[in-house]
Amino acid sequence: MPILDYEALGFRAGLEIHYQLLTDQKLFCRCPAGQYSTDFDIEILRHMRPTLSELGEYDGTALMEFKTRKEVIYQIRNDLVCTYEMDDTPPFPPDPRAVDIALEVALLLGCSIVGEIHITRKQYLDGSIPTGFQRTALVGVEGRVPLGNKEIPIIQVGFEEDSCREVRDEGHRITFRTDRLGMPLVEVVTHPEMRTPQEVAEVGRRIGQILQITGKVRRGLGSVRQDVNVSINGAPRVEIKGVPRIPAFERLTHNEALRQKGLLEIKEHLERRGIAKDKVVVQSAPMPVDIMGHPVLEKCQAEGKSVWAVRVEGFAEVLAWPLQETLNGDAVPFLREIAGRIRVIACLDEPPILFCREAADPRNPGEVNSKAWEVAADMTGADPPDALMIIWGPEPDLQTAVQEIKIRCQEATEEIPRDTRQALDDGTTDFERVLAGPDRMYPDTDLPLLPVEEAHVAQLEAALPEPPWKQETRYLAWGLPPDVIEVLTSSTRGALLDKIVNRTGASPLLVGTVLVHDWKALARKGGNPVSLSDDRWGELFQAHQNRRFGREAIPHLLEKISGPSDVTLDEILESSCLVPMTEDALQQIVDEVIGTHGNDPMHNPTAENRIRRLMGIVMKRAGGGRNGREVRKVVEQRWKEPGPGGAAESTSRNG
Amino acid sequence: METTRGKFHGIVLPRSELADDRHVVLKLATGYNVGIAAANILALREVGFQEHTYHIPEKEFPTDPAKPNVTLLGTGGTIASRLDYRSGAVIPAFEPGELYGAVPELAGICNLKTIKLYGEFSENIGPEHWIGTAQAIKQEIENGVDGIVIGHGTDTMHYTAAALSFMVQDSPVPIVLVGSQRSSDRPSSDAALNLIHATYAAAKGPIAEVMVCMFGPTSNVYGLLHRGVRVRKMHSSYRSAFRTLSDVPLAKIEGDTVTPIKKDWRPRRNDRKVRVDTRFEERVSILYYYPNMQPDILESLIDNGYKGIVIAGTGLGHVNRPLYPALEKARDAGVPMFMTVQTLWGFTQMYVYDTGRDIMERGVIPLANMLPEVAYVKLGWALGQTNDLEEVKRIMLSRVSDEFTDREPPNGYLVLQGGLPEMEKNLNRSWR
Repeated sequence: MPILDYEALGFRAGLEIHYQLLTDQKLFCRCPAGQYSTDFDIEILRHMRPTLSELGEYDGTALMEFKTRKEVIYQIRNDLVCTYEMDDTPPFPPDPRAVDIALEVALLLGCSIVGEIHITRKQYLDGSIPTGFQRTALVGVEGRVPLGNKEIPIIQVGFEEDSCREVRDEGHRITFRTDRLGMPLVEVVTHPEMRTPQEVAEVGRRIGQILQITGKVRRGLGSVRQDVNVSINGAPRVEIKGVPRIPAFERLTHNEALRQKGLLEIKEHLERRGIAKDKVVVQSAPMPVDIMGHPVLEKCQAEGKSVWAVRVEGFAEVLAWPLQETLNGDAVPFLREIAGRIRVIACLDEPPILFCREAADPRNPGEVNSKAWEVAADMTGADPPDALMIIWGPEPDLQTAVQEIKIRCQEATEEIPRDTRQALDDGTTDFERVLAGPDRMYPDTDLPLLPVEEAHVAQLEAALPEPPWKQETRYLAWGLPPDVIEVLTSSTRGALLDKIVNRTGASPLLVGTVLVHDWKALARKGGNPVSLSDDRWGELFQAHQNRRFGREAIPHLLEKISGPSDVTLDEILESSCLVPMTEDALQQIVDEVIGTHGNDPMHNPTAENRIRRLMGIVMKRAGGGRNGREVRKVVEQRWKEPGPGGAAESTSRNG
Repeated sequence: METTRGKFHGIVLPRSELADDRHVVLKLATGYNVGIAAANILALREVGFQEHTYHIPEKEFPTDPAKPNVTLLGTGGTIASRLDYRSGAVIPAFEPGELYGAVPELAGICNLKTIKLYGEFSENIGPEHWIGTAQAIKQEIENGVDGIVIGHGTDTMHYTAAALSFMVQDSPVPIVLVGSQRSSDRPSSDAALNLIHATYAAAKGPIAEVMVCMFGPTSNVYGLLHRGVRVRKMHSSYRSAFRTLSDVPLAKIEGDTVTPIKKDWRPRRNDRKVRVDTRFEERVSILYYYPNMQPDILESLIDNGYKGIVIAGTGLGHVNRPLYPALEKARDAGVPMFMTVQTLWGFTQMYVYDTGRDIMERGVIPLANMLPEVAYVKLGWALGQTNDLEEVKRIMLSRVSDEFTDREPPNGYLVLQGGLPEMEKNLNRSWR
């Protein structure tokens, strides 16, 4: 990744991490949680209107969404969604289990726990929630998460309902799937105290660990949503939404710092050129369609839509100014800033969104012929220092687009807009919406306030798992390998290991290896290690401690005991010939094996190889009834002694 | 604020009077509210004070002499609203300027005048308000208004619609009751679209009757205009809660088009003549029959001086035998009794079974397919005009609007009111 002096730039980043909670039901109704379906029974249509906040203001995002005039379609399945999610029934009290998980997370992060939970409505006018707001509530504030030898402060921990999944967004119609809607999420928000992209990724990983160690969050793609906000000196906070994986944080936050740096440079450049906000001139004119020969424009013509040329005076250099860099090393120019607004606010979302004479965006490649630019320049009176663009669509949307072009260019002279940006796979971002402020929050009047009793907090506190950074220190001291520690401290398996070791006195290294590597092997074979109860694990290691079988038998036994649960470990041991084997029985097997295999031809018949080979056969026959060290001892003894195998030995040596 | 559970910084907000007195409400910088247990507070430091007045952005409602004039009468409910910190409740916005700020589309339809008659939740609305509203309607019609919209809480909107249907007759202009099932402080509220539909129906719609205008489907697609005497709230929370029972709705309204569904409606007129009779007897009751009902319930109504009783009977209009002596007592005391059905859809028919004949023998008069609530309102209105039992009976059985109908069309029994695309699709799937 290219290098930036983050310290000199004043790089600051904060995280918002959401995990779905592992509950049976949704947060504010009794619909099943965690069931996904692309199928649906009905579709309903709604619109969203901005409303006033508690302080009597309209929120900026809300107004922006209103400008888009979207029809919102919800796809609904009768068995996964009820009239609550459709916003046709008031909420039911929040699932106490979800509330407790959020409290547990807040306690793990050392937060100050609130005395009373107030359900709050957070407005979302993009349609992603049919009510137009998300019910959300704080359970704790001002916690901390350790990062090396410093601590990153946490702003807050809360719970909230999940939103819809977007199916498609075309023009003025957006379609959502509602299966996920209403599932409980826990949200952890940090202060913007990360000073490098690497720190952002590290803190993201840490918080994920803490959530996963509770064993009460869902895993896998779609169950985790991560947002990051970034600012540098002289720039406001910009939020990047929907970062899919932790490693992506590094490139995205780096690019955002780069983008803000570039935007500040553009501002200076415009100042030098004497272009102030009120001097931004944007001019548009309708274009004849038939000269450009681009399929998008031909389609426009067929559909009776219009094509406009737009000129921005003196902005040629600005439009081409590089602001971000893709993973392939392609530069993303200022042009994308404009394309994003047109796509989202004017709903002109047909790629490549627009053509520009001065610049191209790797996200939206496409160009028109030089004749087109000649005509466009003629119609708008564009000179070479001017930026020249071509946009297309229905006229009212084109008017909105021209307005947005002007607004964005005016902003370039003033300050960096407080955007919410979407994360793209190529490590860059694009406009999503204007960043929402606290104005979009207002109290939910549908539900009573929920007191958090002291005794209840004390109870939750007593049952907290050990924080992963403490586990980590302990496991390192026990000599566990890093890859094993990594898994143990970001799952409930660390707690399971401690339980097993305490109960059976088994070696932490053995238990750790089994819980990580044998676990993985079992899962790969289609087994289900998660289904094994703590008691079953305890039983297994206890039996191993009692020398009823060796380490080698564990994978086989795991497969057996993760099957039907009414079979006891004893029964499995018996059926696998793993009943404790007497010394005599073992000697008998060893003798038999030496008798039949003692002179098998071997490629490299050294004594060690011979012993190993015999041991392998004995172990298979003994079915793990004794451990390897004991078997070796007996094989070594019997093989050296004269007996039925003695001759074979000499044959082998001579052969 | 330093507490035993850590430090908190925020704005202390007034606490709802209805909440407990053990917590303090803080608004944090992120916009979230939280409660702090007062007992846990160790130290407090005040850093400032600010009094806040909140308002809905107000713009002057534009007037255009070419546009029709509509008067919006307010009785309560929330068409546009703001939040009240103290109670956590929603305060309605009502002035034309406030409404214009919240629903600018209204200015494209008409010139709007608003009169705030009451500020009541609909459960607190009763005869006093019906009378006041009817008088205000008369006044506005005589002042030359082109249509009237009445903002009303939804719970009892159908009672008010029935009362106005009897009290205000032969209106030359539309009288449209409207409310919202999702309060207007929500982005997804049905309030704005309902208000736009109702205002359009009042300003330009062809039908001059007392109507309820609410969502047809739960989708934001179209509204239905229901005749005031056949409409009932049929769901506690759905947007599409209002349905016409035993008949089809009067009309559909989508965008700026009112499409009549029924054929027999009273058209708009140019004169400003209207008959208003607001006399009302409040001592009437509805008796909702249940199995094993004992006569003392009915007797207590008679003993307490009730002047008329509507019974919501089972099936075709029945009550049990133990009630017979009480029915006789009411008849002998000169308390008129009328039978309706608790099935809501369908007619009374008291000849089919002996029980029905026995009950009629004891003075109970069947009211065809009049809805129990409508019958209650009509009986109060009839008794307001006369104490003569024969005359009361005559009024009850004379049709003013469609409080009872001659026939029930097959599509009158569509609980989902038919024609709702999302519901038809739903039915086809669910029942295939």
